[in-house]
Amino acid sequence: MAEPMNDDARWSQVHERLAEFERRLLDGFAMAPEQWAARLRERTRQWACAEQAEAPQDQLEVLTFSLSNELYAIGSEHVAQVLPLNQYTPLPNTPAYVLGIVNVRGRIVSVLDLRVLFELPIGGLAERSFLLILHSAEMEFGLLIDRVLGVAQIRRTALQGGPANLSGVRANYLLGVTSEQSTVLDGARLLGDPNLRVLADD
Amino acid sequence: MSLDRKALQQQLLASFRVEAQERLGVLADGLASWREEGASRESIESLFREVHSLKGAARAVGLLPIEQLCHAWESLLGAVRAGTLELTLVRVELCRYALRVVQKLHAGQPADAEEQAQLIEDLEAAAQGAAIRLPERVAAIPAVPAEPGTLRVSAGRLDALLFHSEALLQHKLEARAHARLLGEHRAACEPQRGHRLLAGGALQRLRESAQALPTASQDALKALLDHLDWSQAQMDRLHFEAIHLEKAGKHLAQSLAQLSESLAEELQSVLLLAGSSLVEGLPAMVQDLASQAGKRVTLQVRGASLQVDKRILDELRSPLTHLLRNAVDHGLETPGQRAACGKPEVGLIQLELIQESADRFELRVQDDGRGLDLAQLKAKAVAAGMLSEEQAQALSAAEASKLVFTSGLSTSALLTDLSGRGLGMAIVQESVERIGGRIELESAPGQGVCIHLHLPLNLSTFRAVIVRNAERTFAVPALAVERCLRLPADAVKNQENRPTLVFEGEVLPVWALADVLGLTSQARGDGYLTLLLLKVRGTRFVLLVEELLGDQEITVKNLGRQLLRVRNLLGATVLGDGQLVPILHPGDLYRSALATTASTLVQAPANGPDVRSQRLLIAEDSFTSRGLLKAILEGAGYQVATASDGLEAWNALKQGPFDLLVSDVEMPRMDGFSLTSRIRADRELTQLPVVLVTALHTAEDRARGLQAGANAYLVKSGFEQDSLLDAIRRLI
Repeated sequence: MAEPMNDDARWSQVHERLAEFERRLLDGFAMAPEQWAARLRERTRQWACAEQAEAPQDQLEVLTFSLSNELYAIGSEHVAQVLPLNQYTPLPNTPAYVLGIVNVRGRIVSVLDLRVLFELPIGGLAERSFLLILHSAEMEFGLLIDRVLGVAQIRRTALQGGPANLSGVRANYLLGVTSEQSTVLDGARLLGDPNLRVLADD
Repeated sequence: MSLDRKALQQQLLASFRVEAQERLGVLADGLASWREEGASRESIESLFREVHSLKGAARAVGLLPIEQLCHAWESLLGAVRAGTLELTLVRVELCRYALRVVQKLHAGQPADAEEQAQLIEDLEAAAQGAAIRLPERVAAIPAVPAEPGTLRVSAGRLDALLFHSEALLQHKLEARAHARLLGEHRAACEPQRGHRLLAGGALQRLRESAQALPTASQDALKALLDHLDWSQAQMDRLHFEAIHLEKAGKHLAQSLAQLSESLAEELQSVLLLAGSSLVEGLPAMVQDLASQAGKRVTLQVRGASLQVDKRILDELRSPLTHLLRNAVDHGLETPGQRAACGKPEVGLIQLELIQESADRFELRVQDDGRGLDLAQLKAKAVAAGMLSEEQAQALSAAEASKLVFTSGLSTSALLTDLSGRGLGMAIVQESVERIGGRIELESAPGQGVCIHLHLPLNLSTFRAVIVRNAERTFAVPALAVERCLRLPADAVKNQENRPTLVFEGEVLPVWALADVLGLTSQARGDGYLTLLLLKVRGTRFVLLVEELLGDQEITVKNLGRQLLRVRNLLGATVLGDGQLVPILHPGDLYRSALATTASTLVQAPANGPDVRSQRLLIAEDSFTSRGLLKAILEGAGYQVATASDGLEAWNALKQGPFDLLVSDVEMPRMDGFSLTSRIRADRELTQLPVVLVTALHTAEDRARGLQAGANAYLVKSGFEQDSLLDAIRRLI
């Protein structure tokens, strides 16, 4: 009995909803203005926060590289250049961590082997090696590395102190470990360490 | 003394002339620009400073007229600079007038006292803001100054020039090496001509008899012969080109050599500086040191006009500072002590540069202090364990005074910040010897110490003997090498278990260079020894090396900032072929040799040259891996040679007998699989055991390796030295 009424009511409902869809289509799926404003405010707040967290002094630009199947990083301000290491001249009477010397455009630069310094296994043959030249005002030397992986920005606050099982020598030159498990070296410490200078005292 | 003062005055005047010339030039240019475009602040400031400096310089040499004039001129410019006066046309003209008068004075033209007085008055009046009238007569324009014959160049620029000249020398050496290679290349092309003549007849006969063959064979043969003709034409062309390239290369090398040599020669003369530049600042330093130590001293400098190579003077600066510090701190007594000994209270240090011969001079530092305390020196040496009591007693005075040069000994009772660290004299000796000089010391108790540094006047090119030892190349400074000898192995005999050699009636100690440097030495080959007879500070000794590669000119470079001083090394050099080679330090070598206990020479006769360890060849393109493999295998007692790719390995195998090959798979030019196949296909080498070491580790690769004929196939990722050594032991 009520069916024709029901039908009418349903039809009118259908029409209403169609009209609603049409309106929304015309508005381009826009949401209600107050909702829109609220979302914009929310987003603004988010962005404002992120901006604050990434103040430049908290950021550290590092060069990441691999050595003996481990990941390392070092502040890019200490890196002068990276070269393929084709040949080097070993020297007698130098500490084991001095791999030898190379000729970089007429200047002689010594090459240090971090694997010896950090007591890493010397195995794990790399097909090709590179030389990472570190420099400061009064020091310059190269590090033997396997490969350069790239440049990354890391947050200083995200650096964790080295795990307790790292050996003493290594811990001395570390800035920390990132969450990606790359070990960040302290370039200034490496370059400034008088123990890493060879000065025969005879 | 008065004579000296006169000479000084002359010198000062000369340098004033140079300076004033420059400043007047700046002033003239500055003033010229004023007239055209008004004056900028900077320009006024700059002129003010120039006039002020000129005044100062004139006062220093006592040129009163110029000083007075500049003083008045400076007041005017000062007022303009401060903004209290405006720069009117009249004032600019007055400045130009002042410049002309100064120029005139400087040029040495007769001074017109009245004109100058008037000008000074005008300038001062103008500075007060008073109106002035420009003199009507225009000062005579001074004669155009002669072309400046001298230039002042900062010492830093000279260093840059030196660096470039050294780089040029390096290129010269490289070009020479390339020219030699081109020559060898050309020579390698020669034999083909002879071969062709020999083969020519056979070919001709073949061509003639071709008629008799069936048509198909005839065509094939004809094609083959044509190809041969073409190849020969090609070979001729290459030969011809090789000849041309060699000529061009030689020409280039020669012109480079000429250029480099004349540049070096020119620089040599440019680099001569008066010894006074070495002495600069030292009198003040000596006075400071003396007053700190509560002593009184006069420093007398003589012969400072001697012209010496700047590089020598640079090297001498710190040793000389050291010697003067020693003289003040150790040598001189306090005024009280001196008075008690009947000496004048003021101590005297004399510094003298004396030319000894055309290319050498002496730098003498003499003090009149207490002299060396030999007893104390001996006691220190005994305390440091360098000498026994008896040895110390037996030392003569001269020998004992040489102890000063031993590091670690200091006679200064207390460690002051001046000296007393016991390194001083050793370092002085080191620096003096580095530039090819030697040091002598005389001491008389109570009368002082006299130190003679005998030095070269210029740094001529450095020559070195290039030797190979334990697969490494070293350069030995030719200055220290007296002779190179090649003697039968039995010339070296053991005396009291120490190897010695009798040469020219003298018994000389012999050491193997590898032992002295702590390198693993190789078994020696043919029963002959290559020996270097070195002479260091009058002591002769002999070093055994493996091979002598020749002698050549080199450039000495330091080892970089991290390797400040490495025992036994003086520096490094780059040879013509680009190889970087350490330069050995003869003095250090002798000291190290004395401390060397292990000697491979002692048991050498027992082993004899016929005991040959097994020879392995490593073919590997990665030098790191190559080094590692070499270390592992040498550690296990094998004799190892290396090649950096398959082709190089192939050539090495064809040349010398090897017992086994360890090869990488992926290599440029010829990979490990091809190398293995080639070995198996070769009549002589087919039995050679081959171990492939590789990063490829699929089953297919393994199968391919074994198919090619490898005896063992080891995968790098699972690479342990035991498995490699096991494999090798099983194979040979």
